[in-house]
Amino acid sequence: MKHKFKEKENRYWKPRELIVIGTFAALIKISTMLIALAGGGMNPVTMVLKNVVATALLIVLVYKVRKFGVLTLFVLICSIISMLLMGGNFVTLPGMLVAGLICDCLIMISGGYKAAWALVAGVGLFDFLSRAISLGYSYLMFREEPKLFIIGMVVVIIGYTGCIIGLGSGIFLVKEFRHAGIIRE
Amino acid sequence: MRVLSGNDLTKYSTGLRCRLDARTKMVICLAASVAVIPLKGIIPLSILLLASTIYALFHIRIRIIFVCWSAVLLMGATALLCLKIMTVFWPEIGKVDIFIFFVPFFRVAVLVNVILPLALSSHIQDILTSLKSFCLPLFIYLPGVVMVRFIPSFINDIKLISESLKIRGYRINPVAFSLHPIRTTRLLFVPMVVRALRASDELSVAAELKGIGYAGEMTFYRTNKFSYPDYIAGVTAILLLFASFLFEYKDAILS
Repeated sequence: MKHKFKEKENRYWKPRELIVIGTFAALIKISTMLIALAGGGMNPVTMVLKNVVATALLIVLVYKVRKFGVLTLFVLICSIISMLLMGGNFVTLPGMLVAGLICDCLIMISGGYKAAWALVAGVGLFDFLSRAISLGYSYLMFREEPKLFIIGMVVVIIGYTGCIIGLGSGIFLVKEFRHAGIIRE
Repeated sequence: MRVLSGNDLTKYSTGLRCRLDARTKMVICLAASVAVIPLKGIIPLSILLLASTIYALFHIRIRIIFVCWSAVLLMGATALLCLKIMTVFWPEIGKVDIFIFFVPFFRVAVLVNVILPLALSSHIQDILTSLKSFCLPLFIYLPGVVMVRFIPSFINDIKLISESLKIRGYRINPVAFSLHPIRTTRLLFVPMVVRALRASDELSVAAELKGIGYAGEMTFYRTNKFSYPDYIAGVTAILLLFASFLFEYKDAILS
């Protein structure tokens, strides 16, 4: 029995890290939805703002859980729960998983999870790839009327500027949390 | 212990509304989201739209369906308006075939119809049980459960933060977000993040104290079983999808 417990202690993902990933996945989902609803839908300010918040939170997450596969696991959890609770799309899941894996590899190659700029680069690329996949899916949905796709593309580009701002504000947020003792590493 | 507690006998609803298992709704959702991509004819999409509307009416109130359809129509109208504005700067794109223009919205409407029953008529406990029944590994199951459990409590937290902001004289609305975006986000976002981080810390300590991740097999609080309505819904969904694909590719099949 003791041997069995010892074996389970060597798990790659610790329950503490898994709980942090789950909490952040919920927080990102709720806060972006709240900002979109409170801003009244097609409001360009809130389109930027919700992406700022989502990216900043993602930066905080990768700072809190510095392990290979954190982005992939985050995408997987978000997609599964979106499917179960909010009817998210099943079709984009494989692409998103690949995007998460590519970004985890990028972080690993470009300095590892201890290097701040590698984390920022990984999250930046992840935001870009996830938007590219969503645009690809929307092209499939709106292929009869490509003009609608152009409108969608404009909306996504506006949103992506928010992601770029979010990368900077995420670092700022991490500094504040570190000062407050919430992030210890 | 599970047998003694008799939780397998618990029924949430005897009406048709909650009869379908969450897993059946998920499979229908998956099938619809994959099927609408290759379909582009009006007849096959109309078949799916009609069937999905009936399916949605069985599960949720008609008022909610109307609200969601209004949102889809509003989306279409906004897209049309944006297109008209773009025509001013780029006249070549102004020619719109209204019939083709609304085909993508048929797809969106089908997806809305299959998504709503899953999202609005499934209990959280049912979803948790479904997650367990998929025998997912702990690294997927644990964050998933945390996320599902936290979403309602975060919504509650937001309500509390919003109330406290009202008392302090701040209002959270589209005007406040447009005129003072940074201030409004800071007021709403920072307390929420701090609360979430504290909650995750407390939950992690509780999980470690309870030995989650170190114990042996988990026992289920409640198990879900497929019933006749699940099988009927599954077979009907397969037949309808088959019929739509038959209409879509009938020329290719006949030739």
